[in-house]
Amino acid sequence: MQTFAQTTFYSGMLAALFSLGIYAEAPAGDAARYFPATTIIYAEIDQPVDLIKGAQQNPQISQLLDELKTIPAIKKSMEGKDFQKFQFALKVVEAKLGQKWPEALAALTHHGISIGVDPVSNGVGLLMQAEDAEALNNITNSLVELIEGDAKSKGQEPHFEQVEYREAKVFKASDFGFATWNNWILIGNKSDVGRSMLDALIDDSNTGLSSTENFRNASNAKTGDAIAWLFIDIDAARAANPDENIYSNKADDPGGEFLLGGLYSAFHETPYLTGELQTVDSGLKLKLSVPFDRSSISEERNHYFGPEGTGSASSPIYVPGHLLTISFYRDLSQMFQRAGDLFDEKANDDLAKADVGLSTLFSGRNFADEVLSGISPQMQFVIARQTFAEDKPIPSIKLPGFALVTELKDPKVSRKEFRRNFINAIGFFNIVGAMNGQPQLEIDFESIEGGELVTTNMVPEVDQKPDTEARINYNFSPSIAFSDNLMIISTTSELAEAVASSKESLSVEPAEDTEDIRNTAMLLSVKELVRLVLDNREHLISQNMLKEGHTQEEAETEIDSLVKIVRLFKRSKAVLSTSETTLDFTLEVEINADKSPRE
Amino acid sequence: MKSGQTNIDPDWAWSAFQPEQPEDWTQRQVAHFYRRCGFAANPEMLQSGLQKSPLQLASEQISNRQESSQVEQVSASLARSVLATADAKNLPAWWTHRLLNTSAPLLEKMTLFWHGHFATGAEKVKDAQLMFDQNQILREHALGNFGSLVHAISQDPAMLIYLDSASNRKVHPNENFAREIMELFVLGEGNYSEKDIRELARCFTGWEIRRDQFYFNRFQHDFDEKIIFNDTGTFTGEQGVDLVLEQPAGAEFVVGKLMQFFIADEGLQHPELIQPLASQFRDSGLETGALLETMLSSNLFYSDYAMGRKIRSPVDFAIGLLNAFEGTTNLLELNRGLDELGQRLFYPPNVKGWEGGRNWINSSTLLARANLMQSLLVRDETRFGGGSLSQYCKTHGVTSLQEAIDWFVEILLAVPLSEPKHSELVQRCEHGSGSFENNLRRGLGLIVSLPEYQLA
Repeated sequence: MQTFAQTTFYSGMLAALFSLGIYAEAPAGDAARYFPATTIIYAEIDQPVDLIKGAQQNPQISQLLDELKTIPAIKKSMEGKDFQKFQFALKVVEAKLGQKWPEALAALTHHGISIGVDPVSNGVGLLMQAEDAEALNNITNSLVELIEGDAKSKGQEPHFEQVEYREAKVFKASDFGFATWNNWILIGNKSDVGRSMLDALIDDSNTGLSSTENFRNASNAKTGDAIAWLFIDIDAARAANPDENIYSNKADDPGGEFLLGGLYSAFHETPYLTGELQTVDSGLKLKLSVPFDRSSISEERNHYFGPEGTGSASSPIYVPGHLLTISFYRDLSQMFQRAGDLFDEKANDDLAKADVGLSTLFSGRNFADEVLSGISPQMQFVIARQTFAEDKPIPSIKLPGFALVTELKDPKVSRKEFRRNFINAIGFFNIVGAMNGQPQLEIDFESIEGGELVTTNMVPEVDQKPDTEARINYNFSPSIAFSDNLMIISTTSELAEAVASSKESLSVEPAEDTEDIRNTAMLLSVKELVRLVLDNREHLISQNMLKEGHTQEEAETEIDSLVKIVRLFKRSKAVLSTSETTLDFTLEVEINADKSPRE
Repeated sequence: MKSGQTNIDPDWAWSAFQPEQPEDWTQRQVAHFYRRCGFAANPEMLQSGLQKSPLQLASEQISNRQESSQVEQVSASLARSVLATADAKNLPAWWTHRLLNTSAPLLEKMTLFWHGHFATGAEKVKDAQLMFDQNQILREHALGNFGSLVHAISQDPAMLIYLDSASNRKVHPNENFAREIMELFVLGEGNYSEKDIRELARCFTGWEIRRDQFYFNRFQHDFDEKIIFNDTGTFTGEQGVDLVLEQPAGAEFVVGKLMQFFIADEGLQHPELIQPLASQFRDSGLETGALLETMLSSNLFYSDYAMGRKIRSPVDFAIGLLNAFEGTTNLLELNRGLDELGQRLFYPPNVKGWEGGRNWINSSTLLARANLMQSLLVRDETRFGGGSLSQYCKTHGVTSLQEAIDWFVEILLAVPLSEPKHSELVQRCEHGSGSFENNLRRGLGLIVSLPEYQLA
């Protein structure tokens, strides 16, 4: 339940951030210089006031909040004593301040908010610049008065010890403290760090984090239109955690290497990471970047980035019912061949066994050297919602179709091999399936433009009537399609056919910045995701009842609220790319502006 | 009330319990009825039960053979979902949901009894649909005619697969099913010969499973003459089952098992006590409902020979607590816990089913019981009456920790708690730091970990 609540909370925050598109202004000053030079994580929001106003005035956010309140777990916690107490305390604070809490928060953070973590002292500092000194003092004095008044009424000792430090007022509590100076407020957990930050603030010193080389380089690349900016000093993180296991170059999992090997390699050397959150046309964009020299990629990771970093993913395929496409550049043949450099002993043994077995299947041709090398490194993984014919058994749980799409370098030779092995695999499946009472697959061959389609169909059992609650097996009609150079291996014949007719080749679409090379691109369509959830609504409700102990009504409310929340979004795009100097991960979320979540 | 284990008068034992004074019919006795004939009762059920006579209580439950349409609709929906995954591992969660929500507790309790009696394990059968179908057969006949149930189960695909009898050919008759029907299902050990088994096995030749359904292959059936229990004829499988059911020992065997299940784990298996009910069972044509009506409204059932004389099975232990306070929780986790306690529904340990009684308890399972309850009670998903335990207590007029402990003890325990133990319990709960809710849950956890709660 907690995970779901967290998910919805983050969804709310995303929607709140989106609203900043209306209010975003140029970033203000740089507070990084007041943080210690040893700060490892630093983040800043230049215009938090816009975030608060945007959240208050955006109708989608209020709709989202209404939906969140209907979710049983959230509703329950809002009816709980703790939340009621919190609400009461908030009202008391508002009455004392003479303004609503969002207005007070906006005044307190008017000129920006920054946070930093210093591993040397284990200190965390939060620095905010208020609208003016008067507003700051009003708010802090009122809050301190309230807290101390409450302590006194309960017969407790005062929470804060108030002292002067240079020109600042310092309020010390048992495990944290805060200080105000002019229109600045500093909150921290370590007095040493607090003192040094106050000194830097009062002296307007420039010897803090902003004077370090990594931070200077990182901030030089900062764009002006970010809502929030993040800096992580990876050099310092490595120095603080010199664990050889983390930074050793031998992986034990080929799957992990396939997915993240290149990133692992980049993080092994890069000095820092920066992150920027921006509003774009109709949504939000998060960009994480690390300095990266693609020309100096180690040879064993050529499988991930291509020779000298030139490996580029093709533009994502879009088919009817599209749910998700991940397009990537990965040279599997290279990865197999470089296994000795990439993986530990056990992984190498396992790969060697797999190589022998697969080579046998492919008529003795070496799997890594001859079979995989015949496949283009441009690959795509496509997921699409499938449709079901009414005259055939319709599975009760409806799964989407999955397809792996790639190009064959020499289709004349490779097609036969893959076709034969596909047919063998189906035969094997039928034998094993028959032993376990599973339905059988019937193979069919069809010519299509530029190639052929080898499809299968799950044969209904004798006497089986049209059924809308058939076994999960009826989601599958494994197929292989060849269209010119293209090879599609799919869990459904519908998807194989759709992909085969969608394009002639896996063309590489230029990135927005022509210097950039896209290594991986992911495209998610929320509309079909919602349809898929609705297809399986009854099962999700049942699972919710069994797992959460909910009644049917509660489970229905929770699932329907989830659908409404997801409907707030239209699509999402993620890209991993390299430029001449950086490795970038960009995630864009597009808000569904056309539909109210209540529709 | 009579005392002494060996001197129980059968006439007294099976006569209907008739409280002489209103104070002779107490909440403790109603709670006892629901613990044995269902999975414990909530406060409303206890109050309502007090307004009925012991015979009325038993008759109502026995005639309640149809689940309410609301529960049936939700249960069917959950079953569709569970069966759609084709994974039998999800079936226990489905059944425990039904046990928690049933409007026919005795029907479910008897279904559980027959599940242990005609033990069939999904570990071997694998097919979720077949296991589910068998469960429905058990429920359909749970309070009906025993003979009909044996006939239905003898052609049940899950049972035949479990006993390696999915294909039975005349050249090599499979004796598994013939042996189990005599030894475990109908007659009990010592009431048949090896020759009877061999001859009965010949009756079942030609019985097969095709496409998950029972099929009679006449080409594989042995049509020759057989001699079973001194009867001679060209018996078919169905006739073979009838011959077994006609044996007088069968009624004694089934009555004995039911007495063990409903009255006491040990000490009551005396022929003189069993005989009157066995005669009634035979005379009724093996009607389970009539037999249970006598048994569950009898003096013996409400006597000290029965109260607190059973060890709670893991299902009784966990579902009993939740039902007593209208609790709900994560049923997947609950079933993982039941597995550790030794009772995984749809997965009995072997063809003999769960042995029960003292076998439920050892140092390891006792600790596991306490751990399961502690882990369930700290979960957010565990709610009582749809909300917190403190809210639930308040709606029942229980506002302090002391009152709550007294209330929990009264509802949950089958045997009285000694005063020193009670005081210690209250003291431990009062010393607990945290909210009222946390202290209540802690108190409940301590009570169900007591040796007294392990007795039903």
